[in-house]
Amino acid sequence: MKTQHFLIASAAALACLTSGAALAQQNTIKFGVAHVQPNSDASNVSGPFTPSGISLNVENVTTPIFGYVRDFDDNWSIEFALGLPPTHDVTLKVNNPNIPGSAQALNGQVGARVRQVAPTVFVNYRFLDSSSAFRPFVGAGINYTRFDKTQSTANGNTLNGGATSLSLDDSVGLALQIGASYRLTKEWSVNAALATAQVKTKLTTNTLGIVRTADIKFRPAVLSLSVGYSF
Amino acid sequence: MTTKHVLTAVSAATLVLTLTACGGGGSADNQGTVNVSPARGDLIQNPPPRITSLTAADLTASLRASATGQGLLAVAGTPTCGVDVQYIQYGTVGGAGEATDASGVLMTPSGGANCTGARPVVLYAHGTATAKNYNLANLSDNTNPAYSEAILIAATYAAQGFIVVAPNYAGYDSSKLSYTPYLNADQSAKEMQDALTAGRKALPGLLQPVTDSGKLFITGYSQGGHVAMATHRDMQAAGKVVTASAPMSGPYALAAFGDAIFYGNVNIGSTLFTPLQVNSYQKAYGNLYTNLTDIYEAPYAAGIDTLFPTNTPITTLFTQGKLPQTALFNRVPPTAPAGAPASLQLTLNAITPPTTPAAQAPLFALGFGTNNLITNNARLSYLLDAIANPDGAVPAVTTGAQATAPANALRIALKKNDLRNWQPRSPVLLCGGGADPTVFFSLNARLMQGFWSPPSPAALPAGLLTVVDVDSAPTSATDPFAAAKVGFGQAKAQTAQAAVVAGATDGGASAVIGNYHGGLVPPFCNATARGFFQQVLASGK
Repeated sequence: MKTQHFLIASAAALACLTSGAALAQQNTIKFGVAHVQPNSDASNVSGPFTPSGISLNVENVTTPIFGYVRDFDDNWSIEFALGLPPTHDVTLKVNNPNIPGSAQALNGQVGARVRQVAPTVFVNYRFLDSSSAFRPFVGAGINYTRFDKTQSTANGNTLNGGATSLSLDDSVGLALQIGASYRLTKEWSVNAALATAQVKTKLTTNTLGIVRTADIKFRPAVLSLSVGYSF
Repeated sequence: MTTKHVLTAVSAATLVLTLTACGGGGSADNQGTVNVSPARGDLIQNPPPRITSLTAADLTASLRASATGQGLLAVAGTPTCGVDVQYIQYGTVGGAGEATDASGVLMTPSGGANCTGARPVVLYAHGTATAKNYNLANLSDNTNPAYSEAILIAATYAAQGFIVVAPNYAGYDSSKLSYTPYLNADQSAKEMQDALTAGRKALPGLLQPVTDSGKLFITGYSQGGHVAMATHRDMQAAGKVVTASAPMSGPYALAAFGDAIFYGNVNIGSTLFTPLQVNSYQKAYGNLYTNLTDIYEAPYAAGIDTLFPTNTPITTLFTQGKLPQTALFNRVPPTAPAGAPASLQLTLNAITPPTTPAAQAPLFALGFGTNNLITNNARLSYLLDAIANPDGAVPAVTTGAQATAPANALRIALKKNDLRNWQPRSPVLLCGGGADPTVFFSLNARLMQGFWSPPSPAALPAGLLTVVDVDSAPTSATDPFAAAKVGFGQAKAQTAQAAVVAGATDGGASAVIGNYHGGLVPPFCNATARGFFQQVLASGK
C-alpha cells in the first residue's frame, strides 16, 4: 500500500510542477466504489499433459476506489485513478466431453484468485461551462495492470494435478472513460463514470513442474460512483 | 496547451510504470521439491504431478466409448477403483552404468474399500517402443504412442486395487539419455528398481495418497517380459522382496532366440529390434562393431546408431528407406569361407530362407530380400560361431542351456542378457501365445519351462512355475486359465472375421499374424497375470 500512496503523491507533485495555469479550485480528491466487470476472453490452457477445452473466466468484483484530479483550466484536467486492489475469482471452464467426469464437475468452480492493481491516468475534457453544476466529461489515457497476488484453490490444484502457482504478465494499454460530475457545493461533488481499457496478459501456471499458459484479453467495464472534494 | 497536457500525462504514467514495476508480483514457481541431479531412485520432482484422475465410473465410461475399450473391459473386468495417474521422473543409469534419468508412471487406485490404504504394487515393464515421446503417464492424450498400453495396465491392475509403477525406460520421453538400453538385463533391472524406489517415495505426497502393502508383483510384456524377469532375478539376488512375477511374451532365452533368427527363423519386427539391440550392446560393451557397415548394409548404416528412439513414425522410416520393412537378411545365402566343408554351404543355402517347418516358412521368408539390413558377412560370422559354439536349444534342443563359450561379439552380448541362469524362489507365471510370430513362445517360455523343470539341474520345486499359452484349448473343465484361452480364441476369430469382411482372401490369417503379439495376446496375458497375482495374495504367501 505504501507504494501506491507514494505513487499518488509523486504523480500529484509532478502535475503541480508541470502545470502552468493557476486556478482557484484545481485539485479534487475522489472516493467511491467501482464495479469491475473484467469481460475476460481466455484462450484454452496449453502446455504438457493438457487436454483441449480447458479455459477460465475472470469474475466481477466491486471495490473501493480513489482518485486525484488536477485541473489545468476550465475544461482540461488530468486524473490519476486507482482502486483498492480487487481480488477476482477465476472460475474454471471445462469444455471437452472426453475429459473425465470428475474433472468436468469442476466446471464453473473457483480455481484461483488473482489480485490486480490497475493505476490509470486519464486526460479528461469536461463539457459545459465551469459554472454549470452538471458537467459530463470524456477521458483518454493509459492503464497499467499488474496482477500482484495470485493463489490457486483446492479445486484449481485438483484440476491441474497438484499444488499450483500462477502468475500473469503486466499489461499496458489505452484507457477510455465517459462520465459526469454534479457539483453539490463549492467543495463537494458526486461523480459517475464508465471506464474501459485494453488489458492483455499471459497466464502462466506451474503445477509441480508442469508449466501451462493461456492468453487472456480483457475488455473491462468499470462503473464507478464517487464523491469528490475540491480544494 | 493540449499537447503539453498529454505529454504530462504520459510522463506521469511512465513514472507510475517505473515505480510499480519494482513492486511485488508473483512468478509461477514450482511448489514441490526439485532435484536436478538425482541419484538412482531419487525423484526429480516431488510430489510428482497428477496427469489425470479417473473414477471407476470415468474409466468404465471411457472404455465403453470404443470397440477396443469394450474388448478390454470384457477381459480386464469392470473397474472397481478409480485411478490417479502421476508422472514420475527419477535418477537411474544407462547401459554402460552412466548416470542418467528417466520418466514413467505411478498409477494409484482410489475410491472403494479395496482401493485405498495399503495396496500391493505391480511393477510393470512395457513392450518395445520406437517413439521417443512414449509416455505411459500421458493418459490425457489418446494420441500418445503409449496410450493403449497405459489404458491396458490402468484397467487391468490399478482399477482393481494395485498401485502400478511403470518406467518409460531411459532414452524415452524426458530422459536425457540419447539412446535406449534395449534388452540390457542389468540396466533394465536397475531401472525398474529405481522407478519403484521413486514411486514409493512419491506415495505419501499424492493428492489421494495410498500406502504400499509391501507385496510386490513384477510383470511386463514383450521387451518388458524380459525386463520383468531380469528384475525379479536381480531383486532376488539382492535379497529384496518379490512376491511373484509374471513375465509375458518376452525373449527370456535371448541367446537362443538370436541364434534362431540368424539361422533364418526371422521374426516379425526384426528390422526394428535388431538395430535397437545392436546399438544398446554397442553402448554397453563397445565391441560389437568398429564401423556400422561391419553389421549393416551401406544404404542403412549411416545414422542407424542414432535412429532410435525417434518421433518419426516407423512407416515413414520405411518409406524414407532408413530401414527395410521386413528384410533382415540377404536372399542370397552367405558364401562359406574357403576350405570349409561342402556341407556348410548347403546349410547356409537351406536357411536362406528356411523352408521348414512349412507352416512358418512364409513368415521366415519375409525376413529375406535384396534390400536387406544385415550384411551377409555379419550373418556368416555369427553363424560360424553358432555352429562352433552352439546354444543348447538351437538349431535343435540338446541341453537347452546357453552356449558355453561363444566368441562372436553379438553372441557374447546376447548370452550376457540371456536369462537361463537363475532360479526363482517366489512364484513365476510365464504367459504368451503359442503361435507368436514376434517373440517365439517355444524358444522362450517353453525353453525356460524346460530349463526350470526336471531333469534340468535348474529344476524348480513343484508349483513354483506356471506356464500359460493363451493360444491353446483349456486343459480341462477346471483349467484356471480357461477364460483367457477361450477369450483369446474368440478374439482371434473376430480379428480374422473382420479381415475377411474387409476383403481379406487368406481367411484373415495375415490380420491375425499382424495383430497377434501387439494386440491379441496382451489383454489376455495381463488378465491372466492379474488373476495369478490375486491368487498369490489370497494364498497369503
